[in-house]
Amino acid sequence: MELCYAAQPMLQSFLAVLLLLLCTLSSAQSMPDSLEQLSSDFCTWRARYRPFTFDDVPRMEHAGGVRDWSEETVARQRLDLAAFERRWKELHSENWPVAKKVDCQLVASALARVRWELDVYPRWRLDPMFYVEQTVVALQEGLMAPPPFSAERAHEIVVRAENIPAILLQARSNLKPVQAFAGLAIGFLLRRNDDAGGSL
Amino acid sequence: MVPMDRKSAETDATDYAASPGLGIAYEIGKLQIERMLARRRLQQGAEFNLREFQDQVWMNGNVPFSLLQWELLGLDDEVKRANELAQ
Repeated sequence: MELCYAAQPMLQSFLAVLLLLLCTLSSAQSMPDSLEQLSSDFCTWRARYRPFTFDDVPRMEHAGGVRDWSEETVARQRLDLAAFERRWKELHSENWPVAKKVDCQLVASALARVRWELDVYPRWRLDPMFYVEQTVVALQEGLMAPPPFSAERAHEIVVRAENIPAILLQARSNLKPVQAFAGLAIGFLLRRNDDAGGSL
Repeated sequence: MVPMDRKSAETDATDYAASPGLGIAYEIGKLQIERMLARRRLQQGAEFNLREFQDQVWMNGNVPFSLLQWELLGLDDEVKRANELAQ
């Protein structure tokens, strides 16, 4: 009995904390989405999935780790993108100041870019050069970045090098290439091989 | 006529075909920035300062000119038109 009486205040405290936690979770769920939160979530996601390109100006830092261009992962990217698009449509920007409306349109533009890459002009299906970029350019970007040459950077370079065979297998499965595009990729690789004195 | 050997021409043609919109974006971007410059000049009259205009464009980085025009000049006609076309 004594134990029961002693446990009662503890139980009450526990229930109070639980109630507070549930209230907090419930209010977090019902809080409207914000442009800032959507932008931040999208940037984190994009850094993980954004394809490597020959673009001469690095637009954003790529997140580290293994890349995967399998059908399943592309399907997952589509689902994620659809969720971002839904969140964007649910923002109520009518009464925002112009600068914030412009930011909102910029997010729409960034989302449209992903839709373009995945579905409108899916280079991952059509263009072998896309996979040269996901392998050779990914490695090159890691090697060419300015100092310092940290252990993390060395690790990332190894990850990218070890990732190459898997990406090339995915390329073989995904690609239905246009012949001229295949010629372009082969020509590029041959020129790089010549530049390296035929050692590649 | 652009002086170019056949191999370079084929490579260029294939390269631009592989990135639809890339080549024409150079020209469209040029036309858009010229239009924005002209509208800014008309808006500001004698107050117009080319250096200030250049700084504002560069400071805003790699963004669509239609959006830059909305923010800097307060003109949203191009954004509205683009959104209509996207419907």
